[in-house]
Amino acid sequence: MDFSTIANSGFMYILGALVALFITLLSVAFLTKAWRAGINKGIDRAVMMKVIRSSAVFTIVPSIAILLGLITMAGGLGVPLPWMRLSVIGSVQYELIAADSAARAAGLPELLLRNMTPEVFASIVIVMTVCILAGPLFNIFFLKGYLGKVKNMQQKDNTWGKLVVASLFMGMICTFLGNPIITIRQEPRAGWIAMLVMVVAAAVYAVCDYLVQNKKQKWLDGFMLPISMIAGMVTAGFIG
Amino acid sequence: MSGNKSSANTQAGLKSAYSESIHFVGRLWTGLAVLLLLAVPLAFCVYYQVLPDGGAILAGLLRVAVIYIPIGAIEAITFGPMLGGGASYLAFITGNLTNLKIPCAISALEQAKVESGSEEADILSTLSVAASALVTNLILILGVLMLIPLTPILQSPVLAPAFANVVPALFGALGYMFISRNWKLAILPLAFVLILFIVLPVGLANTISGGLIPVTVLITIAGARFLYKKKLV
Repeated sequence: MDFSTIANSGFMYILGALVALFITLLSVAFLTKAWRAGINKGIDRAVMMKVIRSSAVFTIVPSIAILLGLITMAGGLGVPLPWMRLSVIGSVQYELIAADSAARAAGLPELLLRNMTPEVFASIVIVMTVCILAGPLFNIFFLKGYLGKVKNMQQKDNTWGKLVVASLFMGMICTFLGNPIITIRQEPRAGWIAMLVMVVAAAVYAVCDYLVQNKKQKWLDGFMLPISMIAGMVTAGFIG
Repeated sequence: MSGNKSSANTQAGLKSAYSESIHFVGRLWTGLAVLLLLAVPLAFCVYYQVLPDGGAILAGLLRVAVIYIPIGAIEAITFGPMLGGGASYLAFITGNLTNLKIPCAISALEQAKVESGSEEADILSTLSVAASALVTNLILILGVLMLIPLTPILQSPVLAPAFANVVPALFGALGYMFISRNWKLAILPLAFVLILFIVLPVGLANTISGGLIPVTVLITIAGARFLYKKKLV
């Protein structure tokens, strides 16, 4: 039997549907719990609704990019496995690197369905699964104690505690801001486009921020990030 | 006075009760997610009567685990305080952390004018990540159902460059959001990243870029400490 038939079988789609169902139940459970906690804490319902609405809107564009990643992975692993993998824990970058490394370790020249056997496929899935578990296992065993220590530090010196959390965000953002430099050195045109996209997104965000802060355009508040991202991406579409 | 004290105690009790219960629920769901993940290859092997190749698994683990197991643990340490308890459990189960869940939570807190680290922030981050996870789940389900008509559209030459630049677009906007509000904090990490990516051989720079976040975070914290001691922030 052609392995593509197995990778895209009804059985694999059923597994994918079960994973999607699990994620739905999980998300609804956390959403409900946080909503109730917010009500108990006296957080305004309108604020919570705004957070939910703006997060949902913000998520659309990156999710379409994730769907594109699923399509990219489908040539090597079929549709259901990437669907499961991108629904739980992973990201396109990790999944592709892990799957490709596992495939090469199993002796495949490249990650393509036509090269695959059920034994190699099973090996790849096991490697992809085991190697992604460190974060969730850390959370099960250590997150509670770790967050308690961070909170204690914040309570001891509130200004310094806030600076540490701001530094966490800033460190992550600055790392990503530097990435186009590497792309420029590898593929100058693609790198300069990425740099331009960053600048356009930042400029559009600045304009939106100005409109919200100074021109009382409060309706923009929940849409500043998606609008800026789309402006940057449209720029790439025009010149790419 | 005693009324205020009693109210404060009630608040503290509520805080502790929420914190306790979110960790219990988070651990429970994370445990279930780990079991579900492990069940997928097991179900495949049982259903298709396949015995996976132990040597290939070991070789694959040696290649992938040495990089990704430490990265996974370091990510949990780095991103946990940004997200708070509930959102951390949820984001680490549903994935796509740096390209979606963390920016989503950051943006939500920014709009709600709430500072990270408070219990209110924990609650709003959890709402944000849960809403985000539901939307991604829905889009992936719709995408899988409509994969054949959608594939040529999403891979069209016009849209391809746009989707190739989602991450630069996202971090351009987030970069403005954070740097405009705390530019002094950004000087050291930006200089570090730019110099590193310019000076290092390009292959090495590319290899380390994925795991660089914790290092940049430590450098940012060191810079912040210096600025704090000098009363510059």
